[in-house]
Amino acid sequence: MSTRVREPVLFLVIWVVIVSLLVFVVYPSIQVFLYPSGTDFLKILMNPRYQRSILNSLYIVVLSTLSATFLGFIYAYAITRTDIPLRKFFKGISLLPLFSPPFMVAFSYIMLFGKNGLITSKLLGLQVNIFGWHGLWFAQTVAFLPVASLVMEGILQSIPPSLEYAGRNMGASGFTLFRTITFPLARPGVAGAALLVAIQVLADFGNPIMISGDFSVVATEAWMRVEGWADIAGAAVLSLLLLIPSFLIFLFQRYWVSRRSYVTITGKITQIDIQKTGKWIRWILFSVCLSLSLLIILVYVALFMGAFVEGWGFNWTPTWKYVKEILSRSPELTNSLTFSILAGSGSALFSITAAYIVSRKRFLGRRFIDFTCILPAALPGIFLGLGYSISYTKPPFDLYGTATIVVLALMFWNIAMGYQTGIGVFQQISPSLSEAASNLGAGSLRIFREIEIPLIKGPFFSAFIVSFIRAITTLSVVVFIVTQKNVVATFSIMNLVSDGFYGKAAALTCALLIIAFGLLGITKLVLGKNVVLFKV
Amino acid sequence: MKRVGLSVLAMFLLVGVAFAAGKAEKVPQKVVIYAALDEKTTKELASAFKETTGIDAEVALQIEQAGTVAARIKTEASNPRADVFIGGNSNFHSELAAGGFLEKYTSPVVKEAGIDPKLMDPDGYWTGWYLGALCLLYNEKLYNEKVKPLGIAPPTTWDDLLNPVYKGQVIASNPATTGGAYLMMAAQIFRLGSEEAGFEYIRKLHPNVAQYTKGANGSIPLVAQGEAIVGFAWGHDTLKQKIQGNLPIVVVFPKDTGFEIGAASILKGAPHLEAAKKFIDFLLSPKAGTINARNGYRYPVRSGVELPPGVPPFEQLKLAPWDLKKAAENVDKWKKKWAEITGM
Repeated sequence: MSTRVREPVLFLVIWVVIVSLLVFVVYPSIQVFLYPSGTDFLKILMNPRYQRSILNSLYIVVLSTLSATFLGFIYAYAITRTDIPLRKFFKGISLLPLFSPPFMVAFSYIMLFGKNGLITSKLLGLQVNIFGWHGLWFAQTVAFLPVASLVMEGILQSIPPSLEYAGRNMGASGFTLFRTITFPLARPGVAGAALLVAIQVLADFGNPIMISGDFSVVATEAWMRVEGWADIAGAAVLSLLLLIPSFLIFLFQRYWVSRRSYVTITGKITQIDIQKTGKWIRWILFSVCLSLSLLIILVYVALFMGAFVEGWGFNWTPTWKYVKEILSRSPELTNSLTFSILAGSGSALFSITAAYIVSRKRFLGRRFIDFTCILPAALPGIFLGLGYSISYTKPPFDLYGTATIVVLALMFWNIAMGYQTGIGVFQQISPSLSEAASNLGAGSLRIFREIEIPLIKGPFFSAFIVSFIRAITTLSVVVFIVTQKNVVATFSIMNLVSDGFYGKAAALTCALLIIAFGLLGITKLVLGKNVVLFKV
Repeated sequence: MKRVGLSVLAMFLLVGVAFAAGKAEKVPQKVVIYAALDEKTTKELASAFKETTGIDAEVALQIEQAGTVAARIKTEASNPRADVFIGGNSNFHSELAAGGFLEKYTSPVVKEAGIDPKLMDPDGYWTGWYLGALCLLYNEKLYNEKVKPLGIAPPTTWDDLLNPVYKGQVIASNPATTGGAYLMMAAQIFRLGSEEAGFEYIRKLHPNVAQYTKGANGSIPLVAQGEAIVGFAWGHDTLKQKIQGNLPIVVVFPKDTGFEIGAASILKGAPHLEAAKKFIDFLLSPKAGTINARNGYRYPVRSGVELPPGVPPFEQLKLAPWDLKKAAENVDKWKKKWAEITGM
């Protein structure tokens, strides 16, 4: 008997998932692929400027990934495997940079470390030029070290201390223990973190557009083709160039790194305490963590200061006026919040469902779903936004100026993270549970509802939070599809920046950060420890 | 009885709808605007248009960057929603016209008000409705600290930027990334009379340049924050930011400077063509000119508009002669030449 007859609901779900992916991921992507002509490709590829920016992108990706992963590892190691003070505080701080709307965070690096920077010039008396590859490297390291650290914390936490304990009993200590036991076990997590950082650095345009100076990278060049020359074909070619390496990285991570995970979840928390760390190591780790977290805090302090002073960088008189003016921007903030909540829930629901059917069922189109669900992780935001603008502003799918088009774009752009998490979880939950239920006569739907759902609540909310944060802080996805009716806050931030209203832009960015952070706080309070961010 | 009542009601509704539809055909109800102007100007223009003509004006999109607006018009071309594209330099409009995205329209107001026809599209697609001149800007504090003690006067001409005292202290913009910066580069060629002389200037300026910003007006925040002493940008944008944000900069219009024509055009397939034409006419009125000058510090193309304080009368500026056609024809060639000189 075929699935269609035996389990109509499952059959329907599979079809809904496949059709949605075709309509909302594959079709708009193909539209962008088809937009540029052969000459457009040649024009971009033959231009020395873009050849250079490809090399620059690769260069900065390698540098930033190495530094962010290295520092992120130290950070994660210190807060999970040692007993240094203030660990909770360090962990909290490392969540901050996940919420970084475009422009203004990078702007606060200039305020801190530029020629007139509060730290470089006022505090240290240095004349530093932050613009260029070195400034970008620095900014990307600080911006993405927390992501790396979050991923590795997860892995490091799941290494049972009993293994280290055993090593210690056999006479190993200090660095030997770390080198022979802890690090090899954490290696897949380190690789996963590095690749996640690499993809994000590659696609990021907010930091480079502000501080890379004359050092051009592909993501900003693609953006400027549109903003500066209204050249969609050129932007599409450059986005395609970005897509290739980021998709390779993703496949590598998916099919190679994640298979080499040695960590086994035993299910029971091992009751052995973490051993005392050597005094010197302890203080070295503590001071590294302290300086890194101070650095992160400063970036956000500078941002908040920008919202409360007359003129950022030249007139430090306190003022309330920008904050007051931002209150009149409540439609944008409300839109941002509702669209992102809808996109976040939609994305979590869709991706967990897709992960469920892919890991539990055998059917035609299974590999298609698997592939298409991770594809959006590699799509630069501007690429998807462009595709939606070309595809969904005319009949038969006319969604021009609606909330729907924004929500759909944000939702499908974010399915990959939730899908990854979902696959990971379903692999851990033994199918024997479901088989037992099936033998007792339960159908797919009942098994899903009564057995799987209680187990996947945590991953569902993790997927929700990650999608929500990415949705509320993105600009590149929405820039092609918003109108005055469905305008969101990041779009207004861009407008305020190009109008020169940096104070207002900072105030609006802060409002957005508070909303995003508030929602994360609520979810964490409600769900406790079940929420894991960025699982690899 | 109930049935009769219902049918009567239905009749009334039908008549009402038919009446409304008939009316709708005669009088255009609204105009939908895509604007590459600042928020305040756009909003005020829309409400003033409604006041003057009784026709609703809906701002569907407002972004300062004309390139993004023009790109949106291209992607939505198969089913256009907007009627008019206002703001942004004429090059963006010319490029849309060349791609077949625009509807021809020449406003009768051009003749009536005696506006210079050279400010209109020779092919009749776009209407020039304001002008913007290039300006120099410098950081007052840095100038006083670093340049004044050497007995050097504040920069007032383009050649002043070549002074070695400004080595690594000039913020310029990048023609490869933005159309506005391309016009700034072309301005040097037109100002100096030949390609050779223009590029010679760019070659001499290069050692002084700290950074070629990606946006055309990137120098404004950087000079204000003291990342460099001097820069150049569009005068109207610089004045607006200086006055509204109290920036510690001085704005100077050099004697022979370049300018841009701010344009407006009607989209091909505009849903409300008649209202769109009326809106273009309105943009050439003294009322629209005043709104645009007061909020955006942009020069109107016609007389009879009062300029806000701090803006030098347009006649006082000695503008370099412009050849729009030449500038448009040489985009690839000049960009390439610029890239060779600067290595960018």
